[in-house]
Amino acid sequence: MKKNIISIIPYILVLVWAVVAWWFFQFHYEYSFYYKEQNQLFLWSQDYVMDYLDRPAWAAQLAGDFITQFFYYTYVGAAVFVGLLLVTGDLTRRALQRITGCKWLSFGAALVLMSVLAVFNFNPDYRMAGVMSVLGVVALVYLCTLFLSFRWWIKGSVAVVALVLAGWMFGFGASGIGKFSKPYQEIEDYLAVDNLYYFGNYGELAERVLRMEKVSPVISCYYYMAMAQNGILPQALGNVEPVDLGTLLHIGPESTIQEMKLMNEFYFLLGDMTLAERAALLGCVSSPNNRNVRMIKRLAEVNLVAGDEEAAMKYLRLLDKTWAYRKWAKQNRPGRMNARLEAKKAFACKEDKVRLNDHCRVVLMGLLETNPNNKIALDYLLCTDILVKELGTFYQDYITYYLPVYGEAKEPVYQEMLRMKKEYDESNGNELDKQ
Amino acid sequence: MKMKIEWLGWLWMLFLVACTPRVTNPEKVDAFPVIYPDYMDVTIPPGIAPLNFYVMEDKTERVDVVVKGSRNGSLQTSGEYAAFDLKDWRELTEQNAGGTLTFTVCALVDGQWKQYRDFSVSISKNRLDDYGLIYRRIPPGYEVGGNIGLYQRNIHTFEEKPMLTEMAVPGRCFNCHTSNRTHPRHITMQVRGEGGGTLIQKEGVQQWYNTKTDSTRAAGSYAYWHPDGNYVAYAANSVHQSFFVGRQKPIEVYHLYSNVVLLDTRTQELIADKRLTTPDWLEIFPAFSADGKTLYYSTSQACNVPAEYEKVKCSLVSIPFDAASGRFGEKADTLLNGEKTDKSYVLARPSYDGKWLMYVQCSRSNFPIAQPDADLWVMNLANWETKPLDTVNSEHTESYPNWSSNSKWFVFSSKRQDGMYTRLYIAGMDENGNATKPFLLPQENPKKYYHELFDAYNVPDFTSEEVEFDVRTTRKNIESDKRIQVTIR
Repeated sequence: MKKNIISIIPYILVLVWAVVAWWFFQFHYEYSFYYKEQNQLFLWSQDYVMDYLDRPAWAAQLAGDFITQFFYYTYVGAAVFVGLLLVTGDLTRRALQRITGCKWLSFGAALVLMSVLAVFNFNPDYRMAGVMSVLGVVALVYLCTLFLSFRWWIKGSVAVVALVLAGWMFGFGASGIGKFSKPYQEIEDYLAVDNLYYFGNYGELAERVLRMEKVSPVISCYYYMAMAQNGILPQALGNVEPVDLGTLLHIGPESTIQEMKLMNEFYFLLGDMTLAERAALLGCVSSPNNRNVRMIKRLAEVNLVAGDEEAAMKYLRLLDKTWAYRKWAKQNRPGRMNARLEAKKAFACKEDKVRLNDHCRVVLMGLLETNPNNKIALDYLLCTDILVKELGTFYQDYITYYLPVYGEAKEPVYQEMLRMKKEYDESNGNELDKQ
Repeated sequence: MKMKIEWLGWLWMLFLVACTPRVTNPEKVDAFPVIYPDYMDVTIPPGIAPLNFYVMEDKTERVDVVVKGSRNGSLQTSGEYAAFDLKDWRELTEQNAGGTLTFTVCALVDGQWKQYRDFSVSISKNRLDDYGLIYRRIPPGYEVGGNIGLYQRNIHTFEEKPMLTEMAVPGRCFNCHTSNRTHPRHITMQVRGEGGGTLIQKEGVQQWYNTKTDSTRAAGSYAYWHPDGNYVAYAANSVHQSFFVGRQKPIEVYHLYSNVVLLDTRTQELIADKRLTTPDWLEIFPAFSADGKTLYYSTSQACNVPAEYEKVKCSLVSIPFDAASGRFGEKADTLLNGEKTDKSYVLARPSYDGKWLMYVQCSRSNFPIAQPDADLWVMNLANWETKPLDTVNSEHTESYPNWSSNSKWFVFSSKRQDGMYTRLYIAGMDENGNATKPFLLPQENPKKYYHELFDAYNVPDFTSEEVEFDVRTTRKNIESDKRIQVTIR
């Protein structure tokens, strides 16, 4: 009985390990899987798949990218990842047991390998192709061990074939080597906020950000974008520090991918399709292999809203060939698109006017001049004036853009600014009306 | 054992043949097939790579295409799309030079074979024996970024080879690769970023220059070789961009200043003629005539860009040049006046036989690739008459033309497919300056290639032979700080 219990201890250890790993990746690191999924574009076409044959470690890359596309779905990422580690561990254990005959050593080595791969995955840029390259090599080693009792020349031949396959198909597992690090909690926080915004879970986003001890400027931007989506940007101003509205940020080739994605969302929110497209293109070219399915979907959205049908179809045709986005792509075509995009279309600028620079104030004023009802753009303009403590500019913008469309200010923060302006003018001997 | 394998092979082939749907009782359709790329009625040179195409009708399961030559030969293909055997296709085009190919297209659509009206493709008598094209591929991110690459493509096959990609020289941008009248024995190229410089490669030997001096504010770009190979003309300028609020014109690209300078590659001196380096005008896009005795360029009055972007109107100007002395003549002639005609004339490209001057005409700007109304025009250099190339122009941007070595063909970039991504088209030119309907650069699987390609083509030119370009040496030279500092003559 005691012997039986001892013999199952390794299995229990592995089970506990698997549950802990799954729990961690599912509930504390789940957004890194969305990030992986978005950083590629896997197409269900024979030609696309055949292209992998030209790549190094093609089988690992193909299998890794194939699996990664399903990380779009909730609960899939962590479960599949831990499942792959278990398979890798099991094959390692079996191979070592056949070679050494030592069960405990085999289990120990398998657990170490699984743990190392799990740690590598703390880096959000660690790709599933890495795990698959290790798994592939381990599987080949295991297959070789099945021939241990054969004649030497058979064993030798199998080993040579396995070696060739390991190099050709899996790159000898080299791409599976990652970096040892602690979990990137700040990045996970950012990815969480980024994805909650992307999926439209603004309430959950706000709760999560308000719980954070430290908020980065990028996360602050997402928070305020969520508030703007709910129409309460002025009311929420100051809820999260530092207050970063994204209006003072410029992007270019030197910007980080976080900033590019943020500004893509920001300009799309404002209704500026040109700059949203620019940020999406930059985000795309800054992704691995210049492919980012989320940015491609955004490029399709931008062109649908803008009415550039040919350009939209280029991206929609690609999305047609994906697993997770094909339904969306079929439902959104030139001339028929979802309510969210239709609403954006109402804000589309009808008149071309060149911007003298890409300062957000110029962008916002341009948007308001072409569409005075763009309340989100108006709130961002006025809130930026408040943020940079430009009382006079705030008042001018209020008079120019707010008053003609909405009348007297209803938002407390705007009322407070107007009261301050009045006090200032009175103390300086001026009257509001003279302004 | 060997016999068994052979028999199995034959059986497999028979199985495949038996299972391949054949065209049976096709329904005759009184319409041309909608194909991608649109190769209907185009004119191609003999020996060009096969014009593989897709039938774009919904629910097309299979196509069967028979091609018959007006003089001799035929070939047939069937499959998901029309993909012709390279050798058979090239033989057929050679056999029918000066004639036509007639395409009979059948498509299995939703279980029913349809036979469309036949269409034809003309095979020109004029050959295009250049090896292929060189071009840059760059993601159209409006900015530097992504994996920029300089490639050469054999136009008689589908082979594309990278010459230099950003992976080889990370963080650098390279542009304005220019060979001398399509011959790659003379190449110049500019590299920007860390360790930037201007490459002059002659007979395989590289020299790297710093062409920026105290009196020329920027390194040279938009290069053009003098036919004798001793001089290269550059535009030294500063390029910027602004975005529109609306969507019809997403971007305006402009130059804050621009001057044309000449590099004497023998003495490493820059010739900065005062008429080509004026402070109040922007001289740009230099190009030498076929005999090297004239330099063409565009010039526009400096204005407050981007605010006054609509005032940028380039005139097309010529100025005599004496290669022996390296001096320009006294008088510059305005061939096309931008301000008077309210147009912009840029990117002059004289044919190498001295007959034609192709250029880009648009409503404004000295950066035509960002102008949707940019079209190709041609000037007859015998009588200075101009005309638009209606057969090649579209409602989208046409730009960056360059001639084949025999001046019978030209390549250009066009955004006609989607308004955003430039693609390369080749068209022929007859004795009267009439262009043929252009054809999209053939690809083995055109739909997959072009639909999945996120790169735009940039600065295409013919190359008469395969370019020998030593990437390792280039990388070493770029990474080294050794640059020949040019001086002003």
